[in-house]
Amino acid sequence: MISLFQVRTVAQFESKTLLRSWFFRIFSGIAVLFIFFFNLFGMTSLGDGAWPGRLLPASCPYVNLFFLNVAQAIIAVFLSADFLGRDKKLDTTEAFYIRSISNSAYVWGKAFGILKVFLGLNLLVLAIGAVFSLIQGEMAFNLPAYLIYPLLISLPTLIFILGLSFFTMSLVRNQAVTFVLLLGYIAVSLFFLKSKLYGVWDVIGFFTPMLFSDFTGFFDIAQLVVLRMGYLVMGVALIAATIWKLPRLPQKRFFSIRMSLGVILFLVIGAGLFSRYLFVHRDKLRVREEIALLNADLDESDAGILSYDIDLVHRRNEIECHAQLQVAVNDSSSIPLVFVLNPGLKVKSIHLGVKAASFSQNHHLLKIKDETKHCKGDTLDVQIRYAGSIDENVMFMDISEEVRGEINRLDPVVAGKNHAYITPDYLLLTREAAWYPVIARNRYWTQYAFSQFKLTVTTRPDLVAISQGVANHKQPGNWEFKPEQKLNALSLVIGAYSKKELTVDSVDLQLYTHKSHQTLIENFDLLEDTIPELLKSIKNDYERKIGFRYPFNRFMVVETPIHYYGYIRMWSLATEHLMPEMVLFPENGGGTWENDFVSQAKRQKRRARRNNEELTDRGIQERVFRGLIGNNFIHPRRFFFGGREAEQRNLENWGKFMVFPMFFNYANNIDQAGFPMFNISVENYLFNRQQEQTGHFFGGLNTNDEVVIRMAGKSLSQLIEEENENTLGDVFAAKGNQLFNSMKVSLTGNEFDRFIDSLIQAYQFTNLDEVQFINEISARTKIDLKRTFDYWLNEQCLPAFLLGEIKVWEINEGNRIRYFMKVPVTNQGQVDGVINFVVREGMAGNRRGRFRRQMGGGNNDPDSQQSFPIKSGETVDIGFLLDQEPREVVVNTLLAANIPSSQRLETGKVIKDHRFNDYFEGVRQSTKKLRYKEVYEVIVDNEDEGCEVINTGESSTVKDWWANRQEGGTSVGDKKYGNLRLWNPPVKWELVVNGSYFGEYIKSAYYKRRGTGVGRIRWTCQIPESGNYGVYAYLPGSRHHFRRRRHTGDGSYYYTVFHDDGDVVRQVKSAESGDWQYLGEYYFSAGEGVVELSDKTENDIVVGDAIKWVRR
Amino acid sequence: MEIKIENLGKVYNNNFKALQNINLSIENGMFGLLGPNGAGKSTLMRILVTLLKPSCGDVWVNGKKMSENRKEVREYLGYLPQDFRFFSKLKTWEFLDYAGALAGLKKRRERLNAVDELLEKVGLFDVRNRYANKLSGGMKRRLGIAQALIGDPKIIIVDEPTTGLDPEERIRFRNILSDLSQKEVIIILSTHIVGDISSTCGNMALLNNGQVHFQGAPQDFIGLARGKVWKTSVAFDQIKAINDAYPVISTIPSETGYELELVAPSLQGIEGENIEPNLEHAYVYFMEFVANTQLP
Repeated sequence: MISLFQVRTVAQFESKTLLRSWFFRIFSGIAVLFIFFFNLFGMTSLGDGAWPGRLLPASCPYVNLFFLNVAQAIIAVFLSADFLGRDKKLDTTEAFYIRSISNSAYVWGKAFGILKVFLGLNLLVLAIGAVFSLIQGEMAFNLPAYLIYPLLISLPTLIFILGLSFFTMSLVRNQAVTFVLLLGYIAVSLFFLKSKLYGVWDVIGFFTPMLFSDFTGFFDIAQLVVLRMGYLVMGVALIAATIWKLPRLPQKRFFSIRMSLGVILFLVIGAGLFSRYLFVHRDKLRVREEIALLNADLDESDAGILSYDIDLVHRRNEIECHAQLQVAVNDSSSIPLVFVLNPGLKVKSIHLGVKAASFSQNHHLLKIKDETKHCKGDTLDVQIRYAGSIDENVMFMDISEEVRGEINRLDPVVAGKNHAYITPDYLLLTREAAWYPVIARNRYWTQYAFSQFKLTVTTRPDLVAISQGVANHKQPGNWEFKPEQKLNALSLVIGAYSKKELTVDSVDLQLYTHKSHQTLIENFDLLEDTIPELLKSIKNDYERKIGFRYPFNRFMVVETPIHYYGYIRMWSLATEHLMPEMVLFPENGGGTWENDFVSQAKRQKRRARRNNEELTDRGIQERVFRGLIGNNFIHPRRFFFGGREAEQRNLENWGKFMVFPMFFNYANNIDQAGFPMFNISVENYLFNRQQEQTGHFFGGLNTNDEVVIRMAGKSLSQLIEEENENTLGDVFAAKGNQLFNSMKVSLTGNEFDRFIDSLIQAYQFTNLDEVQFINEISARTKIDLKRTFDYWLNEQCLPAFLLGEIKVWEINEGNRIRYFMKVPVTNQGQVDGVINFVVREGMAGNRRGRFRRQMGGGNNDPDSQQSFPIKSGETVDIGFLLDQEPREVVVNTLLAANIPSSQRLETGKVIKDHRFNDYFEGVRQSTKKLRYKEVYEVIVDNEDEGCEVINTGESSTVKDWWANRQEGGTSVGDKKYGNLRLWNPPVKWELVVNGSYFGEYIKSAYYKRRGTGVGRIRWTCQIPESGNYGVYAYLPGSRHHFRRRRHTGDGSYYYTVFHDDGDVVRQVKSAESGDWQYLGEYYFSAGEGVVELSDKTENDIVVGDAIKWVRR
Repeated sequence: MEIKIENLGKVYNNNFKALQNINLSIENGMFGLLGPNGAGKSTLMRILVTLLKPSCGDVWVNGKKMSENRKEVREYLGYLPQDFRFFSKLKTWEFLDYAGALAGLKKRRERLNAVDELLEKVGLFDVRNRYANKLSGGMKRRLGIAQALIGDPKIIIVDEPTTGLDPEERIRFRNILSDLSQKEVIIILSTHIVGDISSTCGNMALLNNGQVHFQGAPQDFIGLARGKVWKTSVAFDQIKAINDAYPVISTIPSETGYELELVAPSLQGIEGENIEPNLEHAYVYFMEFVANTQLP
């Protein structure tokens, strides 16, 4: 038996020596200091950089240990590898080795000694967190979390790292090699393995979801414990193995055999835990693969469910349902009826009318056999009794494994991804959970039909049930919901909620929050009497923009566990975070900066101070409240530098809680076989109509540009066929928008918009058949939508626009002064296209700045937006008559060869000619065909073949290496368009897109950071005939000198012109940019002409765009 | 207490035979293990303190086989290794405290008393709060003996304890050991310094090339050299020839030449008188004239 006294003795002295080691003191000191300052500024909102995640339950101990764990894993490697090394080095150790102490007691003593020291470190860090979170007082103090997190995060990591480094050290017997191996292992697990293989490699707990929810606790606690226990047990096994390898004679004979048996036992248990962890995931994957096969075989169905009457009983981890469905069968072929029901719910019985029917359940497919013949128009009464839980694994079947595997990181902590809940205390079911049967049809998950619902819920009396429709709370634990309209989604939430209610503009607003989460609401205590008016104005504003009124009678915001997660779909802007009448809002605002109201209030105060505004506390609260509504529900914005997950739809100004889908996706359905292209098109048209689309300020490509590149030479139907449709969301959106824009131009002014609005409202809450939709559109627009649609689906070419110089005249119209603007446009493409202009007049008023577009911000007057159809090969002048001088002209070429598709145009000086009378409005044919270049010119752009880059490949510093890693952007073939990174320019020439660059259709240029002159760009042209040529270089406009003007503006670029008499270096001031810069006149013989640009410059960056040779 | 070593041998991995066929019987009292550097003393010591496994043979402690009863044997042991210089970051008293706890002194008060007592005894009480690494060489050695003594071990094994100590320290050290040998304990002292043994040991063994050449009382060992130690005077010019011919133990210059002490079975060509040998003489005689011829 191990003597506990001896273990304690060894531990005590080991920890004493560790505490005295400077290595430990310095490194743990740094870690503690970092955490202290993180807490000081991040947890208390003392400064401006408060960490928004502090608002999440128990996030304080989590994040503190999250950081500490990385540090302590590294320190542990050094300390534990040190112990054996130290034993070897210190000759005095032998005096202890001869004592009567077992090897186990000795090694365990050492291990516990190290653990003890780390325990102290953990306690210190937790205490820091506790003090700050108590001072902060925004969140309830969660004592159990302070006990659980160390066990969950620190202990398994420490034991495993200790065991691993002990054992490695006892094997290789070299401290340095052990360090390298172990640190390498940690680095690989952090930077390479990450969350691969379901996160099984995550020894540090850096990728494992461990956030705590006040509603439901930890995410997948069983798997979490299995994984962490796995590391713990493996660690124990490794420590035991070290005992076995300790270079000291054991106390007893046969010790080795017993020891190795112990080691093996622990290894087996550890391996068992890891394999259980993996098998659970593997098994889920297998089921998903089987379901995917079943889904691929699904046919179209002409059955439809008219109504549901669901009786649901919530019992601990299960629900019991009795669903009565009225099913319309249009044809006898609909039998057997196939429904989709979550496979976690087991069907007990099915009755057709009064007759029991036989059925089979294969995964999610429920087949009901019925021998009776039915005629068109028959309705069937189907009664289904089922019970069980929800298998989350089969939800979001269309989402790729890669995306599913991505972690739900809330900078920096990690939340889980739950899609549904049935627990004794909490229940959350959305449409995706398939908790009620729906008709199984081809791609049933992309469009749901409208049905009438009625829901009765029985649950624990102390819980609150929330669902759509008029709620009737008959008695404790008994609820009835009757939606007024037909719905295409029904959701149910049950939990310990407290409710706040308010009526605004005849809409019943309900806020359901967790009983202990009241502090958030307290941020708006001064607004109590103004909130209704505020909300009313926001609502009216939004309805005016969207074009029609909010279609439901109530609007519920329901706080949901932080682990609740819905994926973004390709065919819809709606996520499972939004249901009819209901927003499923994350716990405490989800720990995002826009929902950190304290910090937002500070920001508002500071802004007010800067603008010399007098703002009362109430005024500040009002602004923050507006921000809350705007940022979440109305006009969300994505974080400036935020990327998107793989395959995700790239949406600007989009958020999971945005209410837009309630106006369309949950109110309308155009029933279409196959992909719901009409739904997608209308949705995107409506969505884009109410917001500005501009390119990325920092170059790069917007969604539309990426689509243009992807569609090069391919039709939509080809793309659907060739590529994984899950990745085509952006293409669907852009194409859909294009389809409607092309129809829009067939009607004048806003007529098309008004027509679409009325059409959508007329068919609200009904299933609009695609044929009927086509007929309605065709009748009004006189466009054969069927034909247009087919053409749209199968057309391979894109229009390509050339824009001429814009001219603006000040004119006399009658007795008032107006402005006439003329834009010459040629469509060089093979197909007709539509071009869209936004013209803003007058001086910029009190603009809040480009990045601070609040809800309702931006003067997004739809009247300033105009679309014009331009046929293939046609050249037109587009005329605008304006009351004020044009301030900004933005052209959007939609789906055309032009990149960037959205550009700001320079208007030049106003020509004051009051006798000018050749003005007009709209499109006028022109005879002057626009040309990219004149016949006497030779242009080589960076996109042309004659342009090549010589990269230096210089990555001399870690900074350069890092800069290289930071690449992002879109690859096209071997070309890649990155984002303009002025603060961290690339070390190699990189392509970047920007409206101010030169190009025929693609306005791009190469740029890189200042170099030694080795990195060069070479433009080679074919000089048609010998003679004198003027040589010009295009220097992009000054827009990207936005930062560091001091260093960027006053330098020069150095061009080398190779001509017949040798070569000459010409210096061009970069400040004189924005046009062709003259490099001189030289004699060239017919053949090659070459100009080079060196990366040597006084500026931070150098940009190479195009070179022009002009025949004299 | 009794230690019996039977047919003990140790062959290292590089086939070096460090010990061969060692048979010794050690009883209470102080036992000196004498031998030149590399004779195998430390190897034997390390086997005796269970740090090393013998290749053959075994050690019996109080009738118990060591290889099967390390736990019990270790309970008897106190050990001062040959090198005792590098300590982990512990204070002098903490080091003793740690050793005491491992030696089985479970009660803290008792242990701290023992620590203080030993510190007093070895004269380190004043530096009890100094880090062990900061002690002088002699102090470290004293701390070493203190830690070997803590917990009242029945077998105390000290390996080359006086190497590098100044005479004063050495005497002090010998005295501590002598005091101890009054008790019912076995003290095994390995050394290549003859003086250490002559002054303290009741019994001794001579080890050379991994083999025991002599075992018995130091007086018996000295007896071997009786009549073979000579005192003589030589002229200046003779000294080189004498040095070449005989093992010279001491050379004292005089007005006419040198006064020499040398060891030889008989003198040839020079005059000398027999003197009473001491242990050093015996050791030299033994190493020069017996050990080499005795070897198998």
